[in-house]
Amino acid sequence: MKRFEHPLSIKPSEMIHRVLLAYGCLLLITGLIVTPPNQLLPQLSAILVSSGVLLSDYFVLGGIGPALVNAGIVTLLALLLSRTQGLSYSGMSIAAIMIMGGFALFGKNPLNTAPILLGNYLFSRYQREPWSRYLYIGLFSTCLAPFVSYLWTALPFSPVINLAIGGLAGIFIGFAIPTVAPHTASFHLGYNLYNVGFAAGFIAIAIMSVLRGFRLDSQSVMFWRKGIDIWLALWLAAGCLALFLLGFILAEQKLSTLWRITRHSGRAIADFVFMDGVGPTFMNMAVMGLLCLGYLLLIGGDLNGPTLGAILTTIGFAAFGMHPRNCAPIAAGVWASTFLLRYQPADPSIQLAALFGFGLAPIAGQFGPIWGFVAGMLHCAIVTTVGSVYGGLNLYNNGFTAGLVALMLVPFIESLKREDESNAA
Amino acid sequence: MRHNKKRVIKICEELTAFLLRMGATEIESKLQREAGHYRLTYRADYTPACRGELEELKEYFNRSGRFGAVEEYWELAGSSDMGDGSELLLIGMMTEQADIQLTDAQVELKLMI
Repeated sequence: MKRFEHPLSIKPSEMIHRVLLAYGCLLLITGLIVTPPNQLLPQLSAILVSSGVLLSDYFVLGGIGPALVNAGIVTLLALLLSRTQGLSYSGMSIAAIMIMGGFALFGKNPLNTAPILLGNYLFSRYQREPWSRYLYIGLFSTCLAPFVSYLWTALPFSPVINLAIGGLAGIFIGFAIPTVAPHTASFHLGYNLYNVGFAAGFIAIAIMSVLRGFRLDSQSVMFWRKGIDIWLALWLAAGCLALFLLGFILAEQKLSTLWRITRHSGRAIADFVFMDGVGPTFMNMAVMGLLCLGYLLLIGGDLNGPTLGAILTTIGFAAFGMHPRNCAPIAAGVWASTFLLRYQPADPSIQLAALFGFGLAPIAGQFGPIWGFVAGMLHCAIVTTVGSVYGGLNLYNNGFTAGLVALMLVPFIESLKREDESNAA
Repeated sequence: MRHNKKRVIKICEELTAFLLRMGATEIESKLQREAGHYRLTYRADYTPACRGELEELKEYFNRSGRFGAVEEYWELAGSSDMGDGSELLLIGMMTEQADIQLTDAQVELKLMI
């Protein structure tokens, strides 16, 4: 009989793999449990054939259970790909895999992401390099999956031709984004954690402009489930508590290691697994998840596909730059801006702006909470208008907005700095 | 690997910024181009208060494995004048081998890229 393995005896990379595997299985199994068996396939089909345009809450389009099943399948496929490519797991792996599950609650599914991943693979072949070098960019690139779904359904040709054109567009997206993403990182200097969302936004603008030239246009939609299901909130909280407990054991019961993480600005690439170890990272992820849930409860928000997806994404990026100290000023800025602007904190787009605005956390981490607060306010103002530029077809709309905010704000902040005389030479 | 030369130049920029931040008043560097890789050697003095950060550098380098972050972020190396931890971690991922020798007065970095 196999003996019990103490968590401390497992290598960090392997431990992360097991936690991500548990995350994928938890999504899948929960979805299967809460869905009546005779309804699973029809409701899952409804998700697979939907356009996925922002904001398509799969809790509305297919139901909570099928949405969780979709998220579980997408997560496990992403994990399988990274495993077969021999990638070692770190903070970035956690972010890349968890964001796949999160956005599979409102836009991604195995069908519309596959052509983009194929394009990403072909790019690596073209460069004659292992796919593992580009796979994470490929996973993030699936934020443009709604383009694939949109072309499958909107073109006026036969289904076969529509499938072919949509598939080719996906392959093009997967091929193009790895060429653009390194450059966009240098635009915002690592102050936007959703870098591929920023890169994808530019590509989305280009593709949408071409499509509009052919009189094809996409409009944002609003499928949004209101309210918070108690069982879902408890499920999320229990998952976070279990993760915290595991992290606490791995950190040898030292809570102080969690506080040490907050000394980092979070500027990319701040891989907390490398910098502080896997135990403190898991604790940080759990705390961020609970704080996000607490924020939604506090403002009277909703727990649905998009907001749960945003929380799962935040938990993932809490291994790669986000922590309570650099995220709190952003959320405060978004919340405070609703007193000046025409929005309410519980408006769908503002709930998402607060949660996804954490992509700007490095600004608060590097330049202090006041600039983080300003970044949050700017983010709130811009994110509500920018999505229409690409017809809601870039799922990382907040990532694109965060890139714009960082691009404008960081040079401004740096221009206000006075040179330290001791280092002036 | 795409843009090899550009990557090496960025690594040099980043390490120079880092050593200046460590209080270096004199930095010697040597770059050798060999078959299949580059060899980079840096020697510099530092202020004693920065010794902790230099010791932390060993944690950032010498990580074996494929981590997949480099292709998205390699242009960030050398992108700021701070020479901070996140960019050093990136260099650690871009480096095949690293040897860091620390004495009371001097630090020597030998990297194979």
